[in-house]
Amino acid sequence: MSIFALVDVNNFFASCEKVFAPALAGRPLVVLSNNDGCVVARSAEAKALGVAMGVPWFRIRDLARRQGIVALSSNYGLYADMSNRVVEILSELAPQIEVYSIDEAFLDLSLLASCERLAHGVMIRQRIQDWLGLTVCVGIGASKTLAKLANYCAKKQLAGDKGVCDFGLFSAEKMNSLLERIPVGEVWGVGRKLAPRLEAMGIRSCRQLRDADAKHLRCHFSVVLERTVLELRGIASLELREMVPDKQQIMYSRSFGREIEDLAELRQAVAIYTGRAAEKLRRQYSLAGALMLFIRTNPHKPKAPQYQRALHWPLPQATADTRQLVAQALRALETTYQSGFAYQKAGVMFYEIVPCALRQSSLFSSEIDELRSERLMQTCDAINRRWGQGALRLAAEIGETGWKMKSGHLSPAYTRDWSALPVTKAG
Amino acid sequence: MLTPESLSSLVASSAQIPFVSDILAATRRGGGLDINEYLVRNPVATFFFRVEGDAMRGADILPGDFLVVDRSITPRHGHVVVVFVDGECLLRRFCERPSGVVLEAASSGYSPLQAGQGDDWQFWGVAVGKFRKMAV
Repeated sequence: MSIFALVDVNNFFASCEKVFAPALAGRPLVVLSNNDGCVVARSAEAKALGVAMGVPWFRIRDLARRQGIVALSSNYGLYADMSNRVVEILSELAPQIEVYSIDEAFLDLSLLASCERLAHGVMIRQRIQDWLGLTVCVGIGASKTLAKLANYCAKKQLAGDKGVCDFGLFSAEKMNSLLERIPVGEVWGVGRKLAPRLEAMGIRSCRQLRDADAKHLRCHFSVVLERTVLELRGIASLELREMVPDKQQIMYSRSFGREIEDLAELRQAVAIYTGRAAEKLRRQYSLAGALMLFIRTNPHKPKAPQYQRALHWPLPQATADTRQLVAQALRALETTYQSGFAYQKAGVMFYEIVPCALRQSSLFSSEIDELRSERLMQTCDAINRRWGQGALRLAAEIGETGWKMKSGHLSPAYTRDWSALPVTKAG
Repeated sequence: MLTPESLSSLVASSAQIPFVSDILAATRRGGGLDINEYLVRNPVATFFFRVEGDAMRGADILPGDFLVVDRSITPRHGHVVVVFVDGECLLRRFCERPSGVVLEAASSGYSPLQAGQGDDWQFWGVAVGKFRKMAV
């Protein structure tokens, strides 16, 4: 039987900021979106003051002044670095992991005995607390949907203890009464859209959804909802995946024809995959602000040494230029690559995708460069459409550039810039 | 040039040379010596800080030094630690005295901080190394 854990970091962006800024301890903190528009993260103290997620900053400015709420711009470089460290720790503590978002990951705990899982969850939580100063909650269940729900229970302190909740330890009666108290909209994949329609059918709680007629729901809704019902019953129908693209993300990933050990060959594969994903990106007239790279060995050969990493990699500026994207993806590859493993699969995902029209200017490129880049890429795409994919490809990388964002309250790049290190006072 | 082989013979001839095992480990990976490999024990839990002030001069830690701080180590008597005290990030020596844990400076003119004096302490990490560039 499969057992999954969902680990997610509490108030991720706000917590990252607090790790490095002693003056923020105990203070309400909000993190603002690009260009300081809306609140995208809140510390526990800010939540307690009633600051809502997504609220425009100007609307809470008065409250912020009265209550001493600190507002910071999104420091994506810092969050990506801390996220990669979390993934690194989790990869050591589970044979397989799915990086679900920047602050969430599913783990495969199937190999642990049922009595060991809770203790493992506690250990994961403790290690991330000690090593990174971040607090996580851990939910454990027989399907991804149950793991996600157990995580919700741990976070809301509905069940479990000290941020860890293992549904596997609960009696049928306890599960029933717990699921009865959770509104159906909290189930992964149901959400705000489906919840009212389900409620109209009399399905209000998680328990009612779990015990509903799955086939009937399939007719009225979709196969996806039927699968959710099965998942709630502990029948795992979703597997761990290396990366999960949503509509906001573009991914290209493939298994290799044969296993690859050599970095040079891996570089070639990653360059090709990045090029394909970049074409997709340009087809929808968009730019990517960040990429994620993953590589892994073959999990179906458990006797061979196993290695799997997914690395977030913020880009110096949003771009759709294959040359820049490939150069950055290859740098990410060199950071993750470990020799001595037989790699079977790699993938590249672009996220923080914005329409071309919203391009942010950068210190290091002029508009003429960008126009040139756009025309060059259009020409490449046209040639490739005419002569077949990959007819025209990159041979070389370009140099590196710095990191610039339009943000008024940006905290320092504590972990990514020699001149921005946190200061410790011997005085 | 140092090769793993020549280093091995070096080890055989003088086992006293410090750090040779570290150097070997670095060379085995191919490429040259990696200062990270030497200074950083646990990369996931390691962060760099810049030092201000000269309260730790007696511990050979000078203003402007870069400090390698490892969060995965539990502080013990004698460790140099980064600690958040009342909204400040301080660098001090962690000392276990009969009266309890005390944070001491390593040069005169700084009074020690005693735990439980109303200050809110939050241990951040243990310093495991330092580095700096020389003027050339």
